[in-house]
Amino acid sequence: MKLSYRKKNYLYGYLFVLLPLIGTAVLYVYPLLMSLFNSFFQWNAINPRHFIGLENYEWMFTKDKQVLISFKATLTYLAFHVPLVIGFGLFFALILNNKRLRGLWMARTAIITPLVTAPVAVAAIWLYVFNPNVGLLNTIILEWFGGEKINWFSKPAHAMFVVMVVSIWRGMGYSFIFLFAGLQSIPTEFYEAAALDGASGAQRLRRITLPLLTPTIFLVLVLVFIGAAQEFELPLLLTGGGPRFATSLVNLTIYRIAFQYGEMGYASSVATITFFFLLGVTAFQFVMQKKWVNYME
Amino acid sequence: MAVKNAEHSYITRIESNSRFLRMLRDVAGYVSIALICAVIVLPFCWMGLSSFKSRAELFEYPPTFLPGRWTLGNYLSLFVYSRIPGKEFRDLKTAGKIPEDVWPTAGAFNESTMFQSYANVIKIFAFSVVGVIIVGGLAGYSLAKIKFPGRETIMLLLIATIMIPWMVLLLPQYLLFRDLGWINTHLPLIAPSLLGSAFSAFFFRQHFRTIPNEIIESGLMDGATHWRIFWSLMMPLSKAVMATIFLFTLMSKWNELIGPLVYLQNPKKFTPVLVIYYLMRAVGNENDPTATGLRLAAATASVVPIIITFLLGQKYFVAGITQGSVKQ
Repeated sequence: MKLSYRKKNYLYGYLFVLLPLIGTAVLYVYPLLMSLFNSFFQWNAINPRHFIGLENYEWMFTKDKQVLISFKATLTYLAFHVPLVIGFGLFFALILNNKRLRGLWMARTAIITPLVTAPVAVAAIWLYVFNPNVGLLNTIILEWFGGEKINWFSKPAHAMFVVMVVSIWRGMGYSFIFLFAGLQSIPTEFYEAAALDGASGAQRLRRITLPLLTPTIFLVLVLVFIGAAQEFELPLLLTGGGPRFATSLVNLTIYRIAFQYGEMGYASSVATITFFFLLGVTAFQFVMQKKWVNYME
Repeated sequence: MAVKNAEHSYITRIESNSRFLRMLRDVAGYVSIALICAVIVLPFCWMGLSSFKSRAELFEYPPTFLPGRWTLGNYLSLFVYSRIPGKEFRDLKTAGKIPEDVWPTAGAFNESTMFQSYANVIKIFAFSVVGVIIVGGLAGYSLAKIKFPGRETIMLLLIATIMIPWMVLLLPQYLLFRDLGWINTHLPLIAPSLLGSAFSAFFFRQHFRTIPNEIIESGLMDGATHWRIFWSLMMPLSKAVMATIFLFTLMSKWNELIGPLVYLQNPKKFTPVLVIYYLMRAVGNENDPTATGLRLAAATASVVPIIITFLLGQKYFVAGITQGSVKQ
């Protein structure tokens, strides 16, 4: 059977994407469906599954303090982390977008470095900094401000503060890279025209730079949100989930329920809820982009 | 004057009577650079320097920045003496055969060494990166240059997988690997790269789209198959992309904690990051100087290789990320 030239092409096409497709089906689609499926059961992965319908979900929202606290903690975390990470990234991208400065590469490398460092190492550093007795922070507070030693890990609010500071320190680089690249890609003609018209710096920022940056900001918003909602290692390493679960972000809770309590079914239901939440928010962001994102088409 | 300055960034294009303002902007810029470097780099410096401090000095108050007395005790504990089981260690120490400032590691690390963890992570990384580049490259090529039905759908599907939060996948993947008997091997850590790599495929695709079709067409007319074209034409042109993916994969595999945490139980198979994690958990808490010293040494030992690699490959890293978002 001689295949036509076109069909032969098709064959190669399919062949080359075969592995990723198989991988996607096996490692992504199948687990996703399994997770949904498991959420309707009670299961500890050893004994057979035990169908309980919506009981997992019922339990989650009515009786289980741990998961509810975790949801609340995650929402609080997201509410602060996302805007601040994007804000800092944007701020530094704007300031460093100045070719006249020497040593720019130093700052750029510096901002990105925490991102490429393992969260374990990051946590090791910051645990030492926040150490109640000999940490840098408490020392500064005591020596320079005459305040009192703060135990950063005993109060929920303090612990959350620690997690946020460290995660923002780390996450700035991510938004910075994208925003910086976006800034670089704004065509210079706009600024030339603005200079000819006598626009001031602030006007340039508000009328040219920011509007043209909105596609990049949107990209960063979506990515940072999805990334932040999946934060796992930093809270685990810094606070272990916080005083009485106060800093247990959702992923941490899922991990704990699945691997420490052994309740795979319940963990799956928490994961499913989170997934749909993320999906919903992302979809909402995509819908809302028409209102504020400026694609130059 | 406005036109002459057109090549500079927008900050430079101020009306000329604001030379003072311009200087102010530059000063603000330099101050920012200094601040950024300080806020970011200082903690790392402190970690690195502190890893050379003795147990007593680590918990001195007020804390010092530079070590008063440089000591290798932490590193010796981590790399050299961590192999020795508890009792033997104590006997050797009493007999004076082990230096004063070396302390025992506790728990699981009597058997494994940090060295082994380096070997493990390099092995995982090597397989992963080869897989990611080949599989991703082929897929990217096909998605970019070969027209076949369903191509767009497949691409969307691949991209969508990146968006699935991993927590949803963690449990079923774990169960799948358990049924395959792959727990406690390095296979579950390599498999996603060999099979998944949607990111890599997408990246290659974007890159291949910039290559003119004529090259491929003339190759096809000369009787070459797509396979041949891929290896002799496409890949040699993709060195920058390969370098970028190399770095990305390195970052992600080196720093990965969740995968090794869930799938590896034998300390002999741990990765450096996992070693640090267990050190943080098993060896006392933050108020234990022995633990802190070891942790700092382990953290430094795992951060330094990455930072060096990153500094060397920095150009590709930033270029690689920007390639995705700069308007075509």
